[in-house]
Amino acid sequence: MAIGDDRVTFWFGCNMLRHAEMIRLSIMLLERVGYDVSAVGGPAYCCGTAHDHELRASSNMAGRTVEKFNEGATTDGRDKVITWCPSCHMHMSDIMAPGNATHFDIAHVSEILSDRAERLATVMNVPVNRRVLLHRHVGFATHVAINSRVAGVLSRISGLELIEGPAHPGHMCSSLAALPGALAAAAQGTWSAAAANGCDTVCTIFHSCHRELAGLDGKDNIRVRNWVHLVAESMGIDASDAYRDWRLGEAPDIAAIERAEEKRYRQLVEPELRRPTPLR
Amino acid sequence: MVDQIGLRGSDSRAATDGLRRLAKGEAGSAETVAWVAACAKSGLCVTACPERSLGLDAMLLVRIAKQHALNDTHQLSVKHDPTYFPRIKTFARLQLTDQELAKWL
Repeated sequence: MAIGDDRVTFWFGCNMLRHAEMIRLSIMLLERVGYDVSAVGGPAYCCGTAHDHELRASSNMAGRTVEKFNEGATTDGRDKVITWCPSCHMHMSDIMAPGNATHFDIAHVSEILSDRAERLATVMNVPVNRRVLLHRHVGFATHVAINSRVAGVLSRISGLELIEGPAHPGHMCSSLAALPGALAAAAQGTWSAAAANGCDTVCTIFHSCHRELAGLDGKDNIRVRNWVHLVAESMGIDASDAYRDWRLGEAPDIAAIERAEEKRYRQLVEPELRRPTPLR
Repeated sequence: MVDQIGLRGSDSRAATDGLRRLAKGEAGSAETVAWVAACAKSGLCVTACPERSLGLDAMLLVRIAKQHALNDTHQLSVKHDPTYFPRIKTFARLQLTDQELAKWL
């Protein structure tokens, strides 16, 4: 199959809906390396991993999502599902696929983009003069060599100096939240390493880590970017980050708040945006 | 993670035996329950497991043990957040276009 004919489903998960720009950038990057992308996510494509306490419901959600991917494979030729979220990826690999008949393969977006790094590099023409510390975890390596895959893509960016940060426990920051002191230790470890190495940027790999670290943007003159933001910058694309801006005190515009229903915004979103960062 | 949950110096055989028990739907030891509750999916147990060569995926076993501790032996309490999806949807409505909302929500 010619590169331009590759049809894939990009399954971005549910929590990525906090980061619309990162979804759009990922789609754009996949398209730039030759894929025809159908992006799906949100509650309608739940993997069920957050419902271990309701196994029947979790199983039903998983089965429903697999069924949709099967349909995409058989009727639309999308026989590859590209993941973003490591929880979704592991749940698909370990639970969903073994428990359901699947007509598709899965791969992580970092694998797909690094496999086509040569092609991606042809559009990464703008120098990004940053000294970047990569925020890493040890987890997910059982399924995808995530740290080296992302580092491989970032190393293609002209002007960017990459320092690999300490590898923290867990597969992403959210997995540490319930362990006393663990999340703060990970954030502190990353921030200290960035400062010690003279970095001006901390680069997150996953959305959950970005959610935790975004509120630290600007502290010690260190900025926080996700890896897809940096790749976009190298393509001359303005990579905005509304979630980071909101964490730093900006508010969504009034029309957006009204659209989301102001009461829900105040009850559900504001407390998250105003909570303390992991580094007090 | 052993330090955060007080398992430093615990009997590893007893803890792993508890995994087998939980996987069969039997009660696990307190150490095992603390372990499965704290699992952050680092995956270090996968390579550390002496039975890996026989095909045992330790991290998957921990996951299954946790499911049994939640649903069968009830040694773990459920921490269900009813605002989980409503919060995500509200974030989505703040940023997505009508077309994206129609497709993704």
